[in-house]
Amino acid sequence: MNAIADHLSEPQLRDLINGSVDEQSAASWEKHLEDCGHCQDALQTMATGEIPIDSLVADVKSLNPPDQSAYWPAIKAIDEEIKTSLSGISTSAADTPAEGTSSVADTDGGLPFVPAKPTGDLEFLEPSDDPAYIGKLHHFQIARVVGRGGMGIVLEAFDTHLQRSVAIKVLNPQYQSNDIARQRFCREGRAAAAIAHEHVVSMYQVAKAQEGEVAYLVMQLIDGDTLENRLRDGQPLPPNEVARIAMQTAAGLSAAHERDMVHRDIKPANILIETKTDRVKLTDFGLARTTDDVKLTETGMVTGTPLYMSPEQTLGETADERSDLFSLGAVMYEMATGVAPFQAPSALGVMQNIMNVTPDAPHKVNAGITRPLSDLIMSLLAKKPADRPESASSVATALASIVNEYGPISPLQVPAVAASEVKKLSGSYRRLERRWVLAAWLAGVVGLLIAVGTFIAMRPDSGDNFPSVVLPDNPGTVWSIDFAPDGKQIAAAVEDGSVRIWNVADQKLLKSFNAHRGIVWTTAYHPDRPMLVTSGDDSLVKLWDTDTFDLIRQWKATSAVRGVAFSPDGTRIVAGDRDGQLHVYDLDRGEEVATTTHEGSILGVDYSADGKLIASVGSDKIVRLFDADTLELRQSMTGHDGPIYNVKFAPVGDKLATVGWNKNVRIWNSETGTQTSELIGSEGDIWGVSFCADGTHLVTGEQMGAARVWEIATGDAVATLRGHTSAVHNVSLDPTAHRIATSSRDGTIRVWDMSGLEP
Amino acid sequence: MTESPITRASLVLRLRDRDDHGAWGDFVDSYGPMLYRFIRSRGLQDSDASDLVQDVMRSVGMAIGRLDYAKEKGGFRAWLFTITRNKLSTYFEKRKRIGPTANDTAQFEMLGQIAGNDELQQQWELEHQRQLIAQAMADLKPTIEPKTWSAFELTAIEGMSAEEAGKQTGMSKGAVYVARSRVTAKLRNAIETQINDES
Repeated sequence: MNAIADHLSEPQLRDLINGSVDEQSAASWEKHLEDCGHCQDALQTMATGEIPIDSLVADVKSLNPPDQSAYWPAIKAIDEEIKTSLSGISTSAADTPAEGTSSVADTDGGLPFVPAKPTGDLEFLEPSDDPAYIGKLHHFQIARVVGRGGMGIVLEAFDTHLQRSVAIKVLNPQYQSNDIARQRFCREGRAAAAIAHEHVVSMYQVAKAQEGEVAYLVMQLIDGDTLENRLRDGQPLPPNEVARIAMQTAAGLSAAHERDMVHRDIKPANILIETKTDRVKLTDFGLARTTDDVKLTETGMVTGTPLYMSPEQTLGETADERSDLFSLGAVMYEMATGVAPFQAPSALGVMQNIMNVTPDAPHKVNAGITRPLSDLIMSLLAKKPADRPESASSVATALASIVNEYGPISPLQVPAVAASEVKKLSGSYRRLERRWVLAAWLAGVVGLLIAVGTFIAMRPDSGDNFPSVVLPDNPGTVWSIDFAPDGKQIAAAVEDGSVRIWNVADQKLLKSFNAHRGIVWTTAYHPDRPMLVTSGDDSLVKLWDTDTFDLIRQWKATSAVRGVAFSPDGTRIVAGDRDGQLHVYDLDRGEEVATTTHEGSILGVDYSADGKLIASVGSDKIVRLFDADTLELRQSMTGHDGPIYNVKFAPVGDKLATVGWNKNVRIWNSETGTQTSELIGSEGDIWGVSFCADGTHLVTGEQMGAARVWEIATGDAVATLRGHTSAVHNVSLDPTAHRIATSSRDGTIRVWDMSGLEP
Repeated sequence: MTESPITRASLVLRLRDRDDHGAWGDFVDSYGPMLYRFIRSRGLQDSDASDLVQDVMRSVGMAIGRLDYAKEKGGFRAWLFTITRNKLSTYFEKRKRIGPTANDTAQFEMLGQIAGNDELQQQWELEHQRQLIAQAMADLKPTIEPKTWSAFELTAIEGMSAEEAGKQTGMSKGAVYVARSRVTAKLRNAIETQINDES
């Protein structure tokens, strides 16, 4: 039969659903539906739309609780209770004006609400007038108890002043009366507040420990999971996760150690893993000290879990930085093998094991653990502090290279470690080298030392003094920015899936809308029409109307799209995705007009100024130039020694610039396919690049947070823009004035006034 | 146009009006089963879940008068979600404390600071959509030609094939498909209107 040719069209299906069709056509279309599965599905799909109507409807029979359920009597009881109180109030309110009575009659005539007085160990809370909350503490509405432990209670709360959710840690009532414990709690809290690090939970506030008031700490609320929960089933974690989590924990520790703060209680319950980013956040710095002394004096015993304690801690000696490293080693051991290294049935047994037993090396317990990782863990578990690696930052660095061995990692995952730790590195590495004699990875150690140079800030110059304004508080890394053609607005692509439009003159946020599921990688204004293109981790390329911010069109690539560019004449868009596939889309017809695939993931694409070439760069270190119409490969240029993060053609001439891993900034000739120069002097990896309008200068954005302006002819850096606290991912030049915009992982955009730069 | 089912806004307004006793009943009817299902989905037994529903309802009943629902908290449903989540949290917390392993866990558990997760919110939304669909079906049914409704009910709810449903209703197979899609589209319309009203 000839069903294919006869399929019902979308308008026909729509008419059928709406009933807006004459009887004769309806009858013949229904006839077609009898046997055409394709049209049956199409019809139902159109009717359903995006809501899963079919499955919702199918469930409808079981919506009510079963007849014999306790629900029905419960509902009946509450129903009567409320109805009685309803009528009770009406009559009493009508008969006797409820003046001065104890009833809390609501002024605008609702039901009475008697705030419940919090009880039990929450007695310190005042009642809240909103039943959504269990109580109040100063200006914090307390939503719920998140956890209870030996030291106190953790509450989820809403800060009514700053209008944000926070976590509040309240010292256990049994210690509230102990002045020493209270003072210590607050002192440690204040010390922890000084640590600002991406892998440490931020401390917002320490409540004064006044007489008769509870002491509490207000901190960042983390949406996530504890490492303790991840380890609950006794299974090892994947080796690369072991290394990554440990690396970020070590980095967080190094930030504290830099301030001479010892954590003293590193364990899986204090290592949080943020749901959205998978980022590790360390919590409870120094707090263990609050109560330990008290317990010791009261009971003569160290309480709490000793599973991750260092030998010196079990002896009651002072814990120093290396004691934290031992605990980190114990946590890593458990991640790598699924069991804690010194497990025993009793606390005393655990402590004896910590003192006397050396556990089997992780690589012997779990074959998936590599030798370097196993050796590092065992070196952390050395009984004598002096035998352990010297600093948390050296451990973080070692782990960074181990993580690298599991596959290419984004430098983004490599955390910053404290700069002052650098000097300690050499000593610890000599020792590590002795320990890790295997020649096979001597090379790895050399690699480490290079890596240290890459991501530890050694800032030779202080930066030039160019004024900048800040567009703050974007919800996450700003991966891409673009000046509108009139230079008045900036579009920003943000990690949380939103796109933000800023007005530069008054730094006002004009618009923020959800553009993609997951990260928005790029955004760019159309050269002359009121349009904006965005691309995201959801594989979509979307074209927006910049007057209404309606979606005009979208295309689906095969995977996450990290590079997008308009053709100079504005008729086409090129997009490059993670699978190495290039797509050229026609804006007006909406079609994909050409596509090709190459090795690696694509991280950046651009059109040449004459529109004849498309450049594509990415993880495989090769710069490729394609014919813009046919996508035939024209040039293939090598020289980068790592992934290439971005590419730009000069607005005039044959030049193009590429930037990437390990300080690479290279200028190429697109005609000859050769490298014309390399710009030396960057710090770390380079993420963003842009030419100035006449092609004489280049602007780059760097991992260490600086942006740099280069004179291409001389190869000199003529200006360094410092202000961002984290990597600069993208740079954009104002087409109308001497201004540079930079976007950063720190969640801000800066707009720099470069008019003071000598030409 | 069919008359829209109780919107959240009007229900809240009516609940605040102390003379409108029917509003309370409407609230119990439309939100009770949803709350019950949601709470059961967290692993609670029938009797515990029923107690908790009762608890939530009591809180709502006692506070609705002072709720400035539209202001900053994202509306009535979000408020109800917060109440429910907090009651659940208290419930689990209590159970953990009286459980046989309470001492061990207290020893080994230090203070985490973990907020709720997306999964909870998703389950809540799903139960809400189920509630909306049930409401929408009740509202739509009287406005739809009975034969069309039967064709829809037999195929979409009872899971009958179009052929069987056709035999039972005396319709052609093709007409059954069309009937089902028409009712589905109307339901979808009703739900989308509801969801848009809220956001």
